[in-house]
Amino acid sequence: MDRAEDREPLVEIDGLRKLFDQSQGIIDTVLGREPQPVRAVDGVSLDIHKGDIVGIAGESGCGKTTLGKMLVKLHEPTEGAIRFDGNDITEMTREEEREFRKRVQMIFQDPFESLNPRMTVYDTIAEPLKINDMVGDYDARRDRVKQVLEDVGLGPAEVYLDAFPDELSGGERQRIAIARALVVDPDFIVCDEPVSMLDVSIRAGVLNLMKELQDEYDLTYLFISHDLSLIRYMCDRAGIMYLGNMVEQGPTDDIIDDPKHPYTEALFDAVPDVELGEERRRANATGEVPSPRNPPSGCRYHPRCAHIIPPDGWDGTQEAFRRAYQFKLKVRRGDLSAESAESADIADAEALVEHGLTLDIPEEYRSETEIESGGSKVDIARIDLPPAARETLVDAAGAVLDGDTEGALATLDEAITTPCESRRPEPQPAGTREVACHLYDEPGFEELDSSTAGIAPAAAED
Amino acid sequence: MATQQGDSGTDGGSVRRRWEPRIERLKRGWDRYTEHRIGVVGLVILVVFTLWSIIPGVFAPHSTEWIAYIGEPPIESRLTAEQVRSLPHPPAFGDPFFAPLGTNANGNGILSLLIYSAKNAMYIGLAAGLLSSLVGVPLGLISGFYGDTWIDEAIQRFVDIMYGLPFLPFLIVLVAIRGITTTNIIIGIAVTSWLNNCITVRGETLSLKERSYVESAKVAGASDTRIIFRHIMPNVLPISFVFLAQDAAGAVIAQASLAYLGLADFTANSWGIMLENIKSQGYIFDAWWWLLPPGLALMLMAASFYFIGFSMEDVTNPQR
Repeated sequence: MDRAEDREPLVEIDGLRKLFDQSQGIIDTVLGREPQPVRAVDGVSLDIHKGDIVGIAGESGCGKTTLGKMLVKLHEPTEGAIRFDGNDITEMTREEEREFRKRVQMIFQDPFESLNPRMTVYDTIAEPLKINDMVGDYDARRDRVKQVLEDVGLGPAEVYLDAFPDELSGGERQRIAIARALVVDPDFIVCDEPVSMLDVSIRAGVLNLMKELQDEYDLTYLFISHDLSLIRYMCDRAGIMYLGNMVEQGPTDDIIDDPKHPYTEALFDAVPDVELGEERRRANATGEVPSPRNPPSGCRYHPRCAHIIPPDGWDGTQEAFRRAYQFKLKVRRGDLSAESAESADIADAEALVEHGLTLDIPEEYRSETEIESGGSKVDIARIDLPPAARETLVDAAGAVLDGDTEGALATLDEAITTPCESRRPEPQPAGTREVACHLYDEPGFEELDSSTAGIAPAAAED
Repeated sequence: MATQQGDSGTDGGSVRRRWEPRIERLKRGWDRYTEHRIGVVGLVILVVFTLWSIIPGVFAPHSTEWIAYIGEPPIESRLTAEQVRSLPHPPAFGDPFFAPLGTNANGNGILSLLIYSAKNAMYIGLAAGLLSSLVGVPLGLISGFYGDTWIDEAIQRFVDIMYGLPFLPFLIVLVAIRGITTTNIIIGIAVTSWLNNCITVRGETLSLKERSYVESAKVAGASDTRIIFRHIMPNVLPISFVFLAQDAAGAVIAQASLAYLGLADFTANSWGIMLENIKSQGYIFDAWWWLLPPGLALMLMAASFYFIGFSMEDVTNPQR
């Protein structure tokens, strides 16, 4: 079972939200434009228990760094609460904040940026001590700094004390950044991609050092990384983020062995496998990450999802629905238009439908005609589209060819709908973890395509 | 890297160990400075001008009151008509008098005037440069650190308005209202030259405050003042030094052009006034020994400031 259950959480994050760029320029105000903030973190809840290493993974731009910075009070949350040891950190008095600063530290990604080039190693590491008035005089501080330097494996410390960062290697710099975080003897450290800028050859050393220090200093880590193998190596629990949402969280091994959220699955497929002879599976996801300024409605992942849920009355396969839905998105994005049809030599509506139903995914997931035509055409007869849907698609394609994109969209919006688009999934308990996906909302999706059929739907609690 | 010296615990030892790396750093900076010959040349020129302005009597053959044929004050006799006709006199080395760069139309030695004027130029250059740095750097730091707030907005709009002031007309009006004194000219130059300083420092601050070492200082609980002075300012000072040198050069030249236009304190000695005199007395095409030296001196002083600024950039912003 989950061993975290019976312990007090050290950090509780509740409905955390951070919007950037909420202010507008004068011109926008005059023209009455709505502000379009970047929704960096949008409704994340997470508990971090004492002594755990919690990993946060996700593509770049998913808000994981912003989340980490909010935990150390570098950014103020727009909404939601962060409780550290029971106290809300957004409403601290000056005295409480001083105490908080001694207990929480952060290690940054780039060791070439995180050390002031004009300060010696001693000055850098001693700074938190000076700010917090922790160790009295110069010699006592110097002894403490030496001790920490030796703890992070930089011994003899004398050699490093008076060096400037530009004399040190990346690994040494990152160890110094770790020493600076440790010097105040904190309880909780946020590590933002701590080894991603280091040479692969020295990563393991730094990671093992961090693990050793965890025991020695009795630390709790929040480990932010895009590298899943690293999360697997370091973390007891993991959270997967996508576009500011936490899509799945739970014990690391469970998440890795049996990813429940379609995004997690795609993310793990995207990691190259080194095992020889094994056919590499690639991510079954379409398109790019949408802009966090204007995220998709409902489930953030639905436009890219391989397991998008068809509407109730749909009698074709889930794959057919996915294709039909992609057709709609292409029309909406303007990828399919009269001009694009002309340049691709497509004259009639049927051909445009066949062109639009293709999916931009790795070869192993494609249909035969798609592979033959290099991804530009799919045989409509082989797709199990319901006749009504097929008719709608052809109608819409006709409208697109006539240049009436809005008409086509109206037709499509009526017929091709999905619950993923209209409702936002709440995190549901699913086995040992929490998943935010409509697939786990209620039972009764066995008729989905074969790859999802294996996942037992969780008890509905919506 | 500094090595451990002295017993720990003694006060002298700890102070010494504290400062050792900084001294070491200065030495390294000097090595980098001397890598470029141009910086050394600038420094030599500036040292010469500095000495001229501190102890002009050592270098100048005569005082500024010295008059050819007659000599140092008190002046009791008058020049004969023939002697007056020979002025401005070309360079003479002891016969009938000693004036290595000749004399002007009043019989004053050009070399002496040149050396005694260095003080004025140095004063104006350094005062205007320092003043514009003292105004521009703090304002730029504040503006950048509180970027995108009303503080930044207010400072930047003020800078925009100041940019609208045309330099020479502004100075002419200022001097007309407050009188022609060197101080007023310095103020006028500083008022218009701090703007570049402010904007550059602001831009640099905006970028520096996003560095993760600033963020990690924040995480450690550092106050805004600490971050500005310990983490940002040491990193913008190099640029502001470059600007200080440029402003100083600009100020010397601006003062000379004002003097040439007749807007200068005529009781003071200055290279600009020497040029103005040769123009107003109509000897531009006749007395090259009078025309060239002040122009060359101005050029050399401005160049020395620029050279030093150029080399300082290497010291403070090492590229490898």
